[in-house]
Amino acid sequence: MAEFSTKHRENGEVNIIELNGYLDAHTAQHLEHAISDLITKNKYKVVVNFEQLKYISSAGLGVFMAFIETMRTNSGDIKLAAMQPSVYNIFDLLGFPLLYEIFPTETEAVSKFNQ
Amino acid sequence: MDELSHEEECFSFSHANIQSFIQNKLVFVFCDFRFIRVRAFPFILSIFFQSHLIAVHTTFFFLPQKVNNLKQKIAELLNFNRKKEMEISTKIAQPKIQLFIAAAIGLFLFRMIFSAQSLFLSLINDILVLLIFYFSILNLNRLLSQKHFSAITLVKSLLFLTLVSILLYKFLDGFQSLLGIDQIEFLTTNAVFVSLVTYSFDLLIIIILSYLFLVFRLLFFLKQRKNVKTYFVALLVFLALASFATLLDKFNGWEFVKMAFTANAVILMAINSLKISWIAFLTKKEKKQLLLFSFGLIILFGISISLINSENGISKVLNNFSPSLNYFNLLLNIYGVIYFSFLFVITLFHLPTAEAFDRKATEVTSLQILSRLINQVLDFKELGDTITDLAIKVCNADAAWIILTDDETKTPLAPKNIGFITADKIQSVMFSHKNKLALSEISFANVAVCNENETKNEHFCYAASAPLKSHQKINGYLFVAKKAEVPFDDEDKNAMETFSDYASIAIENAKLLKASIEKERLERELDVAREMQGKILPQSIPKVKHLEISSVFVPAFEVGGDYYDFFELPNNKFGFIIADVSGKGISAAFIMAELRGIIESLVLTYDNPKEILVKTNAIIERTLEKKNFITAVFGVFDLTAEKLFLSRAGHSSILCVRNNEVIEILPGGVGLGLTYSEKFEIFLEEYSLQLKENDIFVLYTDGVTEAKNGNMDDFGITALKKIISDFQNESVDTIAKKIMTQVSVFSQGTPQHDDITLLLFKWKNNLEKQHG
Repeated sequence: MAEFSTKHRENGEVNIIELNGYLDAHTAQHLEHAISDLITKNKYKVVVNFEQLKYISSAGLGVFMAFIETMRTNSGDIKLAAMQPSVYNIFDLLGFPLLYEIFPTETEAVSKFNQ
Repeated sequence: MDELSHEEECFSFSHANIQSFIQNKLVFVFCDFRFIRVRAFPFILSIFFQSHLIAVHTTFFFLPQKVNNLKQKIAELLNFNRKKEMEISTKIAQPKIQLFIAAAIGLFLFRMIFSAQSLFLSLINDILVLLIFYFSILNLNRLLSQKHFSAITLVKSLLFLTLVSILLYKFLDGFQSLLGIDQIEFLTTNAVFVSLVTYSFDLLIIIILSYLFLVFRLLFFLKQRKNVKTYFVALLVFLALASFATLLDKFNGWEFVKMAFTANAVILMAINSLKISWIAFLTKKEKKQLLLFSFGLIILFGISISLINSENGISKVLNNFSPSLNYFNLLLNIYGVIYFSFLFVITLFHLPTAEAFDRKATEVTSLQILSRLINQVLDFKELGDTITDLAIKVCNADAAWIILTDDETKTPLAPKNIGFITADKIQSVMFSHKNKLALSEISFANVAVCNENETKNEHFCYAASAPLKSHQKINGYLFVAKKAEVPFDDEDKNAMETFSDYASIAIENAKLLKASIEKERLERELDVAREMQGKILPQSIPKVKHLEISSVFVPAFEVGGDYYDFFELPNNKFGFIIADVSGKGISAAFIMAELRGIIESLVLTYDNPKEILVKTNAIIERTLEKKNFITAVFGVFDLTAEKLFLSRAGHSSILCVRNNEVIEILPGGVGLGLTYSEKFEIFLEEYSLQLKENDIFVLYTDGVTEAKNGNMDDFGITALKKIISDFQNESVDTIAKKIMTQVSVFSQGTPQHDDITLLLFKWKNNLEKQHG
């Protein structure tokens, strides 16, 4: 079983979710819970830090797709940051960079919210 | 005299070995005949004679065999093997009552004829009585052996029997004094009616005695573990010997024989009474009942003894009937007094430990029930109910409930006698003492304060919790609470410990069972999905001029949602698609089916890859969930213009081999379902390429590049490129085979987690031209 965990931090208005390990069909639920928790608390500004994420499957990608609309209609967003090249490739191939904001570092993503 | 000669004939007819006996008997017949006064009812008596002859005949006919078999029969009678008893009882069920009646009539007539007090006649008389007694036992045993009696029922029936017999004795007294009949002169009176009535009383006493004897026997053998048959048989033998020794009372100086046998019998009675082994199995309530009953029985047997010992009434009647029987009756009553005295004392000593025994017994039965449930329960709720029900019994509590740690709401499962709110309050008190939900041992708490305000029904003073552990992991907690202001003691703790261990196994098993059922369901679902996928994918590769085509599809165990297809388009065009639906299993298979339908209808109207993908994206919005998407490449070979048109919606790159070089073709485009806005169309690029001889195009799904080895490394695109480059001069089929071999070598020992699809094309225009 691939290990996966999330950590939640707050930086002002922005909520940061740190991902760790392997995000696949089995662990995607975990991330889903983490994000839907934020929505129930009316927190729509989310930065996902990918620094410790080693692998993402299509089910993992689906999690962001599931929530992006809700965030954006509530004048928030999901911004992705600090991806390792192998993870970025997967996002890139799918065309995510055209639709999502992806930053090299977490700070850049957070500061984008604060502009 | 006619009758007598007839009788003689009859006897000479019967057994030869009793010939001499008959001769003796005939002498007696003649001697005693003058004593018979057939004054009032000569006619009736002659009829009786007829039946008497038949009866005596049959009795004596059976007698030798019976006597020989008597020992064996008694052994059979005492044999507690029920099956055998049933067999015997069914085998000789029919003749038994007849035998009893025949013996009874025989005795009656015998007594009508012979009234002499000679030893020999008395002996015959007593043997006949013994026979009646024996047949009566056989008959009653048949009735009794068909049921299973508890000790208390047996004791109750004894109580009833002694009461009946005492009443009967009293009634006999009254009956005698009413008629003023001197029983010694019983047969000399002309009142056959009176003699008949007295005789039937005697018979009734025999029946009661045999019943009494049988109940004693059942009581003696109840719950016996060791073989104690010898003791009972010994007692029986001495009872019989002492009884028969009364015949010697007629001679002075011979009483010691009777006394000796009696003493032996009494000692054996005492020994046998100590061999009671069923008291411990009674509940406290039953023991109290038993104490009362045995006290009553001691008194009743005492009364009975005093009645038998008195000179008048029953004693007289029985003595007249058969002194042995009278003495046997006395001995049996003495046995009763001794037995129940011992029983009384033993029960008294058992009483203080009765409660502890009760508790152990409940514990054991509860665990039995639970262990039976361990392997049966499919319903989690039912299991929870049983556990809490039993927990209340085992721990002497008033309420019980379970919480499971994987249930985030911590809702009490199967609460008994407690509401959710109170349970929640008690829980929070229990867990506030130590770390929250980390109690690894049984803990107790006084919870009286926390629910003071509750109504009486819900006011609990003490609560205890036990972890439900399996494989060192705590799966949940079992809670019990009680209203009494007495804390749980060590016994309760031990009981709860044992019980919670069993309960956790049961819960774990139920969980595993549920999981395996779920797994089976999933597997069946996957079978359906695989079947669907197999039908959706093309069954054969089309033959296209100038184009070598090869395809490989290897489904993963969990259907991955890979899809590819070929389309013959108008204007000498040939289309193809490769796609990967996100998600797995049956839902992915459904989306595949939908996608195929959409594409198949679109290719009827359009032949532009971008147009087809844009339209597909618009249509698929209705089917696709937010979190699902499809990556796809749609390509069209224009065979006339020798061109390839491509559009890529988020799919992996297209590998192209040209001039010994592997190029990655990666036109822009986002996956289907990622966005439904105009952005999809804006970002989707159109790619076209003029085909050259021996151009190879390789399309694949991420199942190929993301095939993993034991270290979770990817097979990768570089490895793929290398194989294609190495074998570019081979046929597409060979290249495909080489790729598959390498992928399977790489991922050996690691399960394939995604579908693998490969699509290969080679442009071979010049070949045709050369041939042409």
